[in-house]
Amino acid sequence: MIENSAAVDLALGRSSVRQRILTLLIEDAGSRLHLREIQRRADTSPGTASRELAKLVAAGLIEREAEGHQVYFKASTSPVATMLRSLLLAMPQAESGPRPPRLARAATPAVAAAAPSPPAAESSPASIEPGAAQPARRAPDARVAETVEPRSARPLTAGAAVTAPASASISTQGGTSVSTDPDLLGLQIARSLAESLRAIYGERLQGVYLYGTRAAGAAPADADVETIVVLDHVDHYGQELEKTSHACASLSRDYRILVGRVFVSAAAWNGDPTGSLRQIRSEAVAV
Amino acid sequence: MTPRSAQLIDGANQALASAQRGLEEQDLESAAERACVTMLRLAKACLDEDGISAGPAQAVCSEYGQRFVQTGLMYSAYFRWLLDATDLRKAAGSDFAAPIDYDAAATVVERAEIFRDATVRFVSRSAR
Repeated sequence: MIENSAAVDLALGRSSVRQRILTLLIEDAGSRLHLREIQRRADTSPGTASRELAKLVAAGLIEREAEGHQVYFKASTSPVATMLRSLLLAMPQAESGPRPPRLARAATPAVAAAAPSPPAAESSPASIEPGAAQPARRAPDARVAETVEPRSARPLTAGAAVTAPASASISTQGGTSVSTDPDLLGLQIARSLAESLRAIYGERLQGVYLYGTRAAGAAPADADVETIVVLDHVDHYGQELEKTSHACASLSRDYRILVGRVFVSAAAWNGDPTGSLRQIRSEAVAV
Repeated sequence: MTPRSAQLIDGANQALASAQRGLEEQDLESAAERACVTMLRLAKACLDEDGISAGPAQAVCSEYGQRFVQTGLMYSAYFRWLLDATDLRKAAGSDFAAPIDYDAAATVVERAEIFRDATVRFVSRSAR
């Protein structure tokens, strides 16, 4: 009952995007829609659509089906979803007031990282300006690796769209959902970061892995996207942070989710794991 | 300045002093951790001035980015610095990340000082 109550709260919550998505799916129960179509018909961004879909899946209101690299969503046939269907269809359409301003998109991470600008150029003149604490920067490696072949017990096929492994499954029981697959939004963001990192590091990049809550699947909506960046060697941690700073900040701003990275050397990652690395390596998902 | 934000700035100054000591003593992990705490407390002080009470570090960073950087009240570099500081702290406290170097710790401590000065200016300005 608690789960059902949470599902009702979620469905009837303040997010008009969520209501539009749910209405889309339940008005035509039985049909299933691809993420892009949902995003287009709900008139929202891919990130928002992914985030709301993840919440609805976690609440057991919709179901996710994977076919190859494509992921589809459809209304759940669970009792609580059926009840909500009648409830939502009886309600007036969600208010369509002005949307909150969307964060201005920064320069694409690859460009930003390739041509770092001083902080003073990053914001408006009215801002409180930072001082001169900028580490010595080394020009980033402009080579772009064609492929990165990461090593993981749980490989995923990289792709531009939000995809899930062919084995993706959500088990729904009595209104609660337990996902055993990585969080879709987390994967999408990690892949975007990986693309930027490939442009920055080229052949130095040995792999990018999603770990933590979002790799485990059932992640809260505001959970951080935690990544491990495996480089051929990490001699100066600060330099690696600086090179990837714009990419992480841009994604964090765009998705309103913190995107973090930890650098690990290839020797440590590929060597005999000790401490928490053993656990992390077994749970991390290659992106 | 609210009493809470004054308290947070005091705490940030203490953490910054501890970070500077850590750097002098070559305790890089401690320096990075304290510098990150400094910046988080300062970000919390800004939020408190805005009537926002944010708890965990992730919420502080997120709210700070939305309320002060997105709106142009503070330079976007500060948001990056905050995120980089939290990632450096994570690396410093982990047993699997590559070791952090002196320059990384020194940079984050220096940034924490600048962040402190900017926050004090911001809070003083908003108090007028």
